[in-house]
Amino acid sequence: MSDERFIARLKTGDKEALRQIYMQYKDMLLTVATSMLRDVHAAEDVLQDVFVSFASGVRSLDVRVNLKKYLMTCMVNRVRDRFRRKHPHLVDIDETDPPGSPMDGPEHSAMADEETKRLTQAMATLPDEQRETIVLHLSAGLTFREIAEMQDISMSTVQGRYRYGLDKLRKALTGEQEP
Amino acid sequence: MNPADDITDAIRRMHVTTRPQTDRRILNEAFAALDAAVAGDGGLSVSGPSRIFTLRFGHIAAAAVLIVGLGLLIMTTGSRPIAVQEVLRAVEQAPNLRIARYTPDDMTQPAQSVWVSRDRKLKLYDTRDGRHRAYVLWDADHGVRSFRQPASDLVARHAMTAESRIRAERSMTGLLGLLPFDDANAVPAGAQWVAVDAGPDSPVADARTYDLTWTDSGQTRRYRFYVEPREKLPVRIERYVADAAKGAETMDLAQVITASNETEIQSLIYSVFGPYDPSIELPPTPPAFIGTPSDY
Repeated sequence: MSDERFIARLKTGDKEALRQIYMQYKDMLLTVATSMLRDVHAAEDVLQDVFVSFASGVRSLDVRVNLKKYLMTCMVNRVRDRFRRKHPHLVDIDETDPPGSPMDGPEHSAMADEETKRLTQAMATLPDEQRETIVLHLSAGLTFREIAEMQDISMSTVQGRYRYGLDKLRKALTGEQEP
Repeated sequence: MNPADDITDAIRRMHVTTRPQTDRRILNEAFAALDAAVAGDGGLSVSGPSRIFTLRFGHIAAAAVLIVGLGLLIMTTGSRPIAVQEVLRAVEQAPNLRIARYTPDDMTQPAQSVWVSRDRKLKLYDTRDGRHRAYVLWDADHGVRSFRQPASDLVARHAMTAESRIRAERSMTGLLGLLPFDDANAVPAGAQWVAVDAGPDSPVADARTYDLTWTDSGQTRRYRFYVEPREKLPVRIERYVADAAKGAETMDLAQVITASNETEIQSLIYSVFGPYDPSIELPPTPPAFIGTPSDY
């Protein structure tokens, strides 16, 4: 079913349409949020926030909206709000302790395989903007142009962040030292 | 398999999924929100200047409908109103400022203080994060970034790259990261600037109070300004965010702005970093320092 049909049904209060949208996009949104926040609990909170807000705002939703892009933009905005709440305006000081793995701890509620754990640990070493660009492109399937529009930056900056981020990730996974 | 063998494919395969009980919880909340939205339980409470502007989280969508297209609406409190542009220009034109940022976790001491000297192109950060405290100084004129961590008494100075120098200079112009846009010309279209009465519990005496509200990707953003009426400088700006758990907005950041001066800033820099000797050859900034300012 097209996004337009889904939204039209939503505007009538159709819960089945909302359930289908949630089931279609939840894992993609959660994967991206977990990669960015490095905390599955926080990522689930963001997921809930996104869908409650989405449902609350259904009356003003434009029927022509691209649902995937809309939900992803809402998610990224909320993730950034989380960063600001936790470290508002803080200088990125690399002498601070490295962040822990989001999969640490016995009570994490999401499930992830070994490969995801290793990758997420390696991605935790990237600067936020590089990690965000990589997961939006590779996990969410957004084009560089869509990411540039979402982040309000040039496409060459997006491509640069992507390239540098992947390079760092390769080095982190192979144990190669930074020059 | 070693993910480094084909890293892009490995990232594409990354998958995190929710448990069924998480799905039920989220869907129940979303269904309730959908019922409320469709039933029309989404009225926006925008009061006159005698009452505080309030928004319930469930009413964000209705707020968006009303706000979009209205442009900058100025409401008065009886005396001549202060326009949002006057307030933002006062920030842009102040030569020296100190911004202290507080989070709800601890409103007694700032999580971060920033001093800006626009004439000398200096920006000093004093950041506390749990056990950590660090000072970072950007000296864009000399192209030097200095870092000091009091706990270990680590002091480091590095030459800034051309790119980081430009970014540091840019970060000292405009609104200094007080708002999520760069300058007074970038106020989002459809933003609403409304006078409010903060009441007897106002954190700032003798200040005029305004709310700047707009929507961004379906999300309502609200900043409360306490403005000193003579100079039009905001002395405090509070940021409010939707809190899904409480179903209401909560303040997550308070920024206290005070006029500073060259003497204060120079003395502080000297007390933290000691004398600066420009004859010492500096090492280049290591890669991790590039793009360090994270103001938004």
